[in-house]
Order: sequence, then C-alpha cells, then structure tokens
Amino acid sequence: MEEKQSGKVINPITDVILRMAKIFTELGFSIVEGPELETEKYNFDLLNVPKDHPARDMQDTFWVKTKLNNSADNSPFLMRTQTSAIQARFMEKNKPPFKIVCPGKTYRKEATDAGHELMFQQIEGLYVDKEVSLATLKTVLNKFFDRFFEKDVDVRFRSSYFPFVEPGAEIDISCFKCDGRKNPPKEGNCPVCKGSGWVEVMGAGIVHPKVLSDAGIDPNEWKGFAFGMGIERMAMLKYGIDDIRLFYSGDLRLVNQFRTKN
Amino acid sequence: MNFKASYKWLNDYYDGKLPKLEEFSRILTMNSSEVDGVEENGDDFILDIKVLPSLAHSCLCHRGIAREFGALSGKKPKKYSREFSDYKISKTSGNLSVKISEEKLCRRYIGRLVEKIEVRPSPLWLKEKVESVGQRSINNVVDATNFVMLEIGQPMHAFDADKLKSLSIDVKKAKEGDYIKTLDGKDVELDAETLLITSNSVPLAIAGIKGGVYAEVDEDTKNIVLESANFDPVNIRKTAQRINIKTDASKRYENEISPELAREAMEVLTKVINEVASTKDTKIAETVDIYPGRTDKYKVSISTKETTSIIGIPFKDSDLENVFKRFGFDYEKKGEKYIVTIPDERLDVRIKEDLAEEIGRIYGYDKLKDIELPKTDIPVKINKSFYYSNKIREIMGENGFSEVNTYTFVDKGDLELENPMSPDKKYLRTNLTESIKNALELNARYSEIVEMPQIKIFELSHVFDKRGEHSRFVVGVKTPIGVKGLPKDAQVLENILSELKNKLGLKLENINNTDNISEFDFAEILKNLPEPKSYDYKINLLDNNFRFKKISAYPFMIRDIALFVPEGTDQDKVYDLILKEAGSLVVKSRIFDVFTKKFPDGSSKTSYAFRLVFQSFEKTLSDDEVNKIMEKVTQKLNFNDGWTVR
Repeated sequence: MEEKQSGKVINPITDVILRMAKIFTELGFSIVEGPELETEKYNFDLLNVPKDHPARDMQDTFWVKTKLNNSADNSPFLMRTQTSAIQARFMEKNKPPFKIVCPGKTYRKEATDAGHELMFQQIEGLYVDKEVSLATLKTVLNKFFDRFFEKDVDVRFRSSYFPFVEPGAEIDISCFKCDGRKNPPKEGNCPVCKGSGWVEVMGAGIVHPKVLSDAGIDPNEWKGFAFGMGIERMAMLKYGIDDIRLFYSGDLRLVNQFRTKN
Repeated sequence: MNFKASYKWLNDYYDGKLPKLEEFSRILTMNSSEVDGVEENGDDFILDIKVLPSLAHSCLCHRGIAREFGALSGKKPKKYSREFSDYKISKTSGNLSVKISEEKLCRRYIGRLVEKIEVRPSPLWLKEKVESVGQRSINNVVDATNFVMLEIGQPMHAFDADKLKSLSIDVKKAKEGDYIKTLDGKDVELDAETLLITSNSVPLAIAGIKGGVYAEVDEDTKNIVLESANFDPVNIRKTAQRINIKTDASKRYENEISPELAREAMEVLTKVINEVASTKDTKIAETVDIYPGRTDKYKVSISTKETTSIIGIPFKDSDLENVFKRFGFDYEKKGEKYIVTIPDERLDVRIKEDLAEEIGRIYGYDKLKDIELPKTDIPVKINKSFYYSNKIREIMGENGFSEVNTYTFVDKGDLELENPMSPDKKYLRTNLTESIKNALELNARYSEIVEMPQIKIFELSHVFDKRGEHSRFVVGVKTPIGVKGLPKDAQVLENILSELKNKLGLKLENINNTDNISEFDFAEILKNLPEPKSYDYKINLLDNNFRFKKISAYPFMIRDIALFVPEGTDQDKVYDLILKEAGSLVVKSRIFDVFTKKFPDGSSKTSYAFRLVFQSFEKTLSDDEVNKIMEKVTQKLNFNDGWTVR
C-alpha cells in the first residue's frame, strides 16, 4: 500500500548542495562560483596539467568549435571538466589566507550508464593558509561527513594522483549504511559499500606548489589543501538513487519524490 | 594506465613468499596503485593494476610493482624474477652503426648485433612468462623482447639484420607521404612529424610505437639487431594519437621512462637471447650506444620538520630514514635536511612534496589523527548569486513548484561542440524555454504518478551564445490534456511571477514568454537586489532517513471509482478499505471529488470519488488484471450496509 506524501518538494541536487553549503559555511568556507564555459588555462594549464600530458586523458573533454565574439586569442573554449577551474580563477585574483567551496556543473565526454553522465556537478574545496596539512584536511572532512550523513563516520586516505595536488589521495568513508560492516544486512552484501565497509567519496590532497606559484602565491609561505567531490554521487549515496541519468532528464518522477517533512 | 601483472611472476621476486593474493592486493591498493580486478589464469592470477600516473614511469612492469610492495612491506625483492647466465662478447662479421638525426626526440639508442642465432619456439619458462599475463607466445626472440618489457618496463625491439641493405640505423623523421607496413599488416601513412627507425632511408619501425614487416624477425632469421631506445614522450603520444595506434610500447614511452634503463634492459635482453636463441656459433657484438639525452642524477632535499608540516604526522628522523631505506634511496644529512638521490626510474620524485608523499604513504595514512583546527579570522563572504538562487527556490517551493534540471547540450544553438557525444547533443543551449517546454510535456504524461495535477516547474541554469555564458531562470506551467477544473495555466504563471516580484521586491522583465513559460536573465534580476547579509533563505532539507523509490519502467493505468455512503461515514475508512483491497499494484491514489446529496427516500448520502494509479515493477499490466482488481474492490465496498458503488 502506498504511503501518503506531504511537505514541499526539494530537488535532491539542491538538497545536497544546500546541506553541503550549510556545513562548509559553519566550518568557515565561503561559496565561490565560476563559468562552465572555460579555457584551457583555468581548466588545465594553471592546474599543473600540461598539454600533451597523459594526465589530460584522465578526463575526456568537450571542446567548443565555434569562435566566441570576445576570444582575444585563438585559445579554444571547452566545457569545464572539473570545478577545480574555479579554484584556479580564484587563486589568481585573491590573496591568501582563504577558505572556499565551489559548487557547479562539470562536463565529461564518457559513455553514460547508471553511474556516469555527460554532465554532473562537483563541489571543490580549497583552504590556503600558513599551516595546512593532510591532518587539517582529514579533520575538516571528518567533521563534514559526520554532519552530512548525520552519523559518526570514519575517513580514510588512499594513495592517489591528481596533477594539482601533491601528496594526493582518494578519500573513503566508512559505510554509513552498514556502519563499516558493523551492522551488515541479514542477507547478501550491503547495497551501498558492497560489503567492503568503505565508500569512495572524493579526491583530495595538498595543493601542488606549482599551482600556487603559477597563481602568484608563494609556496614557501603558504600551503593549502584541495578536494573535489561529485554532488549527484553524494545524493545517490545518501538517498539511494539508483541512476545518475535521472538528474538531468527534467523528470518529476525523481524530483517530486523528494519532499520535506513540513 | 592499467598494467596486467601475473601474481606468480611477482612472487618470483620474493621466492614465493608474497602474502596471499587478497592481502597483497589490499596493501597495494591502499598505499600504491589500485588492484582493479583479478582474473584466474590456470594456477595463477592476472592482476589488473590501475597504475597511478605518477607511478607510470616505474611501475608498468613486474619489477616496479614488486619494488612498490617491497617499500610498503619492508621486504626487499630480488633484482630480477629469475637468474640469467652471462654471455661473452666476440668479434662479429658485421659492424652496426647508429645515428640519431633527431636528438630531441630520441634521447638514447642502443643497438647490438647478434649473429648466428636460431629462431625457434620459446623454452617453457619464457612461454609461461609471456602467457602468464595473457599474451601469445610467438618465438624465442620476440618473446625475449616482450619478457624484458614486462620484467623491467623497457620496450625492446629486434630486427632481422639480413633484411637491411647495410648495418646502419638512422633515427629520423619521416617524409610526408611515406608509408610503412606494420607487423600486423596495416599500411600506415606517415607525415613529417613521425619519428622512424630507418636503415638506408627505408622505414623499419615507427619509433617507440610499432615495428614494420620490412625487417621482421621470422623463422629463417639468423642475424639480428637488438634495439633498446628512449624517445620523447610528447612526440610518441602525438604520433600514436595521429595514426591511432596504441601499443604496449607506446603507452610506456608516453608515460616517460628514464633513458638510464635502456642500458640495463639491453644487458638483460642479451642474456636472455643468449640463453634461449643461441647456437654453438652465436656471436654477440659490443653495443653501439648513442646517448644525447643524458641527464644528471636528481637530488631532492627535505627535512623532518617539512615532512611533518605537509603530512601532519609528527615524524622523527628515523621515520624518514626508514622510508628511504625501504625504497633504496641513497641519502645524506646536511644540517636539518636530508639530501636524497632519486633512483633514475623514479621520474615522479622531483620536489620535496613528492618525497613527503612517499614518506606519508609508506609510513601509512592510517596514522593520520584529527587535530584541533586552528582559529582563523578569514571572514565568510555571502555569495549573492548563490543566496538569491536559493531565495527563488524558497519562493517557488512554497508555491508548489518543483525544480528540474535539464541538459546543457541540445540539437541547435550558437556554439557547436567539436566532439559531441551524439547529433542531438551537438550544441550548447541558448535558452531554457525549449528545455522546460519538453519537461512540461514529459511530466504532463506522468501527472498522476508525480502527484501534480497541473505541472508547475522551474529551472536555474546557464545558457550560451557567441557573447558567452548567461545565467537564466525559467518558469513553466502546463495542465495535462483532459484535466478540468484547475485555474488557467496563464493565471498560475502570472500569480507566481507577481509573488516573486513581491517577495523579492523588484520588477521582473522576461526575455522570453511563450506557451506559459517565462524566462528571465538571472544576472539582470541580481543587479537590482541588495547584498544579502546571511544565508537566511528558508528551505527545509530532507529527513536523514529519506529513501528514493525506484521508478518503474512499465506504463501505469488509471481507474476511478466513486461511491455513495451514508452521510457521516469517515472518508479515511472508505479510502483505507479501497487501498487495502486494491493491493500493492496501486502506486498513487487521491480523492478527487466529494459531495453530499439528499435522496427522495429522505436519506442523505455522501459521494466520494477516488483515483487509483496502477503500475508494476515487473511487467506491463493488462486491462484484464486491473479490471479484476477493481471488481474485487467494488464487491468489497458494496458489501457494506448502505454503500453503493456508482
């Protein structure tokens, strides 16, 4: 028998962004936005991803063929592949210390399936100050994920590589569904972590000194951490949404399910 | 890049003493490169290792992975997976000469002539090695070159010396219009940017990518030229992309390999060739080594204090020293600083942050502890566009509008993509109106399922034209065909716009208004709004336990049922009875009509009308099935005293 629904509709992406914005604001981060139509300079060059480097293969890029009216030089436009582009723009114009988070749409040319979409949103975090380490990052993330999932979750770092950070890490959290295998389902594997007890949630690391110096920030004086996570992925994890392709189809069969209690 | 490694082969570096596969994979995944998959291969396993780009200089081979494990576990691997016997240099009848015409593109070329060998099937150990990673054994010479690449990561090549006009090699660029028939029989057209291995101007191989048939080693080959070379990674990458050929060799070169490795690789290859292909007359010449790209040893310095400040773990000197020893890094200490000599193959370790990462991951990130966050006086700035986007969402939500998101890519627009995913997603949209129009039509069909008799939606997104990127806000209203008794769409739209106007306190001027859809320039709206002081919009968030319900892919069916009951009969009692009887195929329902009527016999009865929406997750429901359920419901209702289904 169906349940009665009540309350106001909230788009799950909006719910997740607002939830994140609230937590990060409480943690002292300012929200910064940036363009989706980007140049190589901000999406790659300033992020230590040189031309003709295999690291550019990590993200397949949509390039814009048409010339824009204001393209001063011949550098082509692209659809940003990562919200890190906002980070590059911000650092160029602002003096540290700063703590920012940057939500926004990103685009990647890859085959679509239940877990992959051509467009999706990310939120980028950047904290540049005199003393920032992986321990600072871990502490901030621990606080964030505890509040986001409204329960005590553990954060772990796995060695990884992103050109704009060094050291770089993949961040996992203990499964919020089965409490890191402490409360496994009676039958079968936990649907969220597939029985591993851990869920991959973001990439992060210490901002590469070249990224700082290219933005005019002295890496001997300043250090920073950066992270990036997928918004839809977090919505899918938190609310059990099974197909990322539902988000951009304008389909109310997804959206109208999401109602607040009052 | 992924590297397929044999577990047995890796175990050879440890005399069979590697931990169990699962534990080995876990250690590698946590602190080095992820083991992405494991496949059984006879009594062995093939590990699919997603080698991190930073480790791709050194770890696209078994020894690299064995060394990573060595550093992680503190157990040193052997230098090679097996012992090789030595060979002797002797006078050959021919003399090889090597010239590098493109010194920027070819950093090193080592050639060696070996005479009077015999091409035959590989001995068992070599055949097993090559097949252990799922490759096909070809012959002893080809397998030997592949073995060296898989063992230490240096791509190798062998040419049939008798097929060359003279024993001279020149590494030079192709001429526009040249072509080469590659080993797999394809004719590849070359351009002036393609680097070739040539002999007397005949292309023998596309340097670092693919060999040609011209000097192919076959079963009659007697004399061979062995190649161990190093090429510029960017040129290899561009050429491989241009001619669309990616090989095990090209992938390694484009990730950059140390030219120092070429010397060791030639030694190993010569030993293997001597072991598996020699005859009693075999003669091995000295190498010809042309090395224009020689570089000095790299040194990086870091102090314990610096490591602590990057990682955030209070390290001791001994912790750093221990990690250096595990990697086999030579170091000396000058004052506070360790000056570390980086092994040639570790092209990824160039600055102190790189060293800090090595120390962090080997020491173990699991030892990272939460810290007291330093108090900062960095003010939180309120983002105006973020604030008002959500203020609009608040007002729209209060008035029963749902927010949708639709695609940026559409089939027409001003800005065209160079590489669209499909023709209908070739352009960036210039407006949101078209997208919302489609969304209104789509959702009008699902009106009953989404519990929105009149579809009321909005979107906040960006559009693009030749002037650049613009932020837009769009609202649309649509009543599904056949639905009656609702306010006019135009009226609903007008009401929400005036509500927005009042709440935001500004005039709204649409830039588009068709089919009960209004689109606005969000930047224009923002311009006339005051700076917000805090994020005080009122939007409730979802309950933490909220769960999404899967959407059925099958069509739904609607049935209405109306009945008279004695006045005063509880509406919920009727509703509950209907739902209980109708069962689990009812996914949505609502009451849509209530009135009370006096009958000639003096009794007063109330009519309730309900709408039931049936849908299955397993199949398309038939009329028959649903009709049967409705008959059952009708019978059950009529069974009650004074209840009559109309």
